[in-house]
Amino acid sequence: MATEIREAEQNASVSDSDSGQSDFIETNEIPGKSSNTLLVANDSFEDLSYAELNNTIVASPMGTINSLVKKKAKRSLSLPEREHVEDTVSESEVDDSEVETSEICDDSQVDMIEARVTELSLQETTSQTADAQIPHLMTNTDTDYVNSPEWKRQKKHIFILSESGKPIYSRHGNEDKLVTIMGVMQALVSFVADSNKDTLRSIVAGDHKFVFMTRDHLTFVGVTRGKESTQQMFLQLTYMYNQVISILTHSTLTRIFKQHRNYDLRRPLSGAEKFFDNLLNLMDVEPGLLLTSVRCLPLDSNVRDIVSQTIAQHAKVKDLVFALIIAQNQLVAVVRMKKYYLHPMDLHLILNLINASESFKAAESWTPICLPKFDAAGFLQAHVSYLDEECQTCLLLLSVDIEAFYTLSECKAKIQERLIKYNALAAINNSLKRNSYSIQQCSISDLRHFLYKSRSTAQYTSPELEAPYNTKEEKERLFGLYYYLHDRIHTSGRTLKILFHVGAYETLLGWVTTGFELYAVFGPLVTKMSAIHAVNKLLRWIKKEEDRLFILSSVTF
Amino acid sequence: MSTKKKADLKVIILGDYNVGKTSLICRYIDGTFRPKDPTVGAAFFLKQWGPHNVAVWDTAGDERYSGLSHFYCRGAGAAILAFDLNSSQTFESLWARFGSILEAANEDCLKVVVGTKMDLLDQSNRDITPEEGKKLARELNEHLDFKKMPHEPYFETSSLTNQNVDEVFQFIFQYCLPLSAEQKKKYGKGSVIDLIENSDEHKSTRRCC
Repeated sequence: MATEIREAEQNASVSDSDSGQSDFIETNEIPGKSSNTLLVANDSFEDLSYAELNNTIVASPMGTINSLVKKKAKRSLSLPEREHVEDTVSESEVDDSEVETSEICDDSQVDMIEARVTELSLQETTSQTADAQIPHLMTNTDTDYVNSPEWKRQKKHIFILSESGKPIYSRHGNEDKLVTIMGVMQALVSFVADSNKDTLRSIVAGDHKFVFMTRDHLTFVGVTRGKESTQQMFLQLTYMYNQVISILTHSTLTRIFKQHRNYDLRRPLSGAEKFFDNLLNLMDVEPGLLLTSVRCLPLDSNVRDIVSQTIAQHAKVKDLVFALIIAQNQLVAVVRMKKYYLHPMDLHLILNLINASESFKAAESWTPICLPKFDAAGFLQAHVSYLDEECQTCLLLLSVDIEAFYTLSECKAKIQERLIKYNALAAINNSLKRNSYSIQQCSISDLRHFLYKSRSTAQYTSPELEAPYNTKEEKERLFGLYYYLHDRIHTSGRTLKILFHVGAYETLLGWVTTGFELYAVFGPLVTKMSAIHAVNKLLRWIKKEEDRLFILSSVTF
Repeated sequence: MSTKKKADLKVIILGDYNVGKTSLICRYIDGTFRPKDPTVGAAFFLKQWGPHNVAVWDTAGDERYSGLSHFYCRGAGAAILAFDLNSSQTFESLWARFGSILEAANEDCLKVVVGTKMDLLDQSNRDITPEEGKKLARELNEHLDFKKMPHEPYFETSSLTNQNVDEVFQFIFQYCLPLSAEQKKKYGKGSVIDLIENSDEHKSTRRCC
């Protein structure tokens, strides 16, 4: 970033003589605002602090499912079936535990020794000139692999390992071959924890950032030389943690490690790699994860009403907590049980489940899923089916009752029939074909792209990526700009309300209020004044289109 | 759609990860073969057999979905226990893993042992002999009357070449929901009976049991 950077950081309250401060308060009405809660919206990026880390019990709601199940039991006056809430994990022998604690001490010592031995190789991986210096006779296959240019060239690495240093997942390469390097990571984490009674958060080395997060006996490590800040990497690791919970539940995970601290977690996670891979790919292309908000499929509000009302009418079934329709990673409609809300982070896990698996396209499916923000202790059962031949519009019915499949299958048939009859499915398909909307529709000159998040509804909107952001490299660069802008505004301790940034190729304007977050990208020659005018015009345009771009009503069963 | 609830027979397929359970079912239901994405949870298919509705449950082989097994096993009239003919480990799993799961099924549940990926099998170098397979099939079905069956409930199939696939399902349906010759004729224009007609073509390639 050697280019001239001119920045104006302003607090809206401080009036600045040369900028049209009053312009900023032009819009009284916040586009996309709604008091009807549909998604949980109180979780902002700043809340995601390291302080959370030190609480071993994460502040996630527990027992929501249990209370729902109890309610159900009371209703039917029969004995509550707990089996499906508490996942079955083979009980282990109690006398194991004492033997194991001593083993663990041994393990960690070995780790430390290994760490010293391999410290050198870590340095090598971070310095670029080390390639030629590796004494080939000395290296085993593991270090060969870690030093292969292919592996080193990757922009971002994500690792998951257990407390005892056992590899669980690696984004690139086979985690089997990464035993040594994961041992080093664990050694670093436990060294800081043991000797300083502190927590290792991040290491910055050159243009690489190493971010560490330990939760529930698992260590998550992210290594990047992209534009993500450490806090943004931390958010990504949190998504990875949520994905683990989503597959296993928090209670199962803690129970496993309580019984066997050496447990190889890859076994219960076998076949789940694709969910991790897909989630990480999604993070690189989907701004919703960064903004902890979801994108809605643009749809006429009366069509959307028909869709939600149809679901509400025909899925009025006991124990059904959420019903939603999703098309190409965009939300079409959500209907929820009274008093219960869906968290955007949970919704991203649902999107990831649908996105990562082709198998739902073959037939109606029934699968357990844990939504950590809803209830990290148990599974909901998801009835998943596609409503159209092309398999684009997906209906999800989430229930606490494992026996509800056939009932929900009937609901699905009814919903499908009605949506076809009312032409709603056709409308959804048309909207998908139209490719969201072009930036030109906003008719604002020199505005190239933007992200607009309505904070009260946890939804965001943005136009299609068009030239110049139509190549992979340019898309990545644009995403990097958003990372930068987002980070500058949200950096803990010094949050900004408005940021105007002139870069070599584009000008950025970020603006955050209590009601919304706006990140806009302009051509490079735009002045501050014209950018402010453009943004106000944009807000008016979004306001005009809000019925189509956002879900503003909240439908319950 | 209340028919789904009153399916006359529930058939489930069990077996280790990646033995080809979904491929077997899709070969039978859709008549096609393509490599399948791993199943998530359990998937539901409905099939007509004469006047009857048959519910077919395809299940994921991954261990983490074992919490679901009670749900799909309950009330099952027949179970297909699938293993990869090229992997003795998947054969051993049938005993070790799925025997206990099936306790939730009907008492008179028919258990059909099905070897998959016949097309990949090198006949001269087999890990599992047909005799072992048949032996397992007999042991699993001790409670049943073998006289009602044309042969042991053991098949070797290939979803790629469609070898023996239809036979598996016909064997099950004919055992659990026998159709009279008259009924067969009546529903003869349907896909079900087409399969029987087609099965003549396979008779030459068939048979291991």
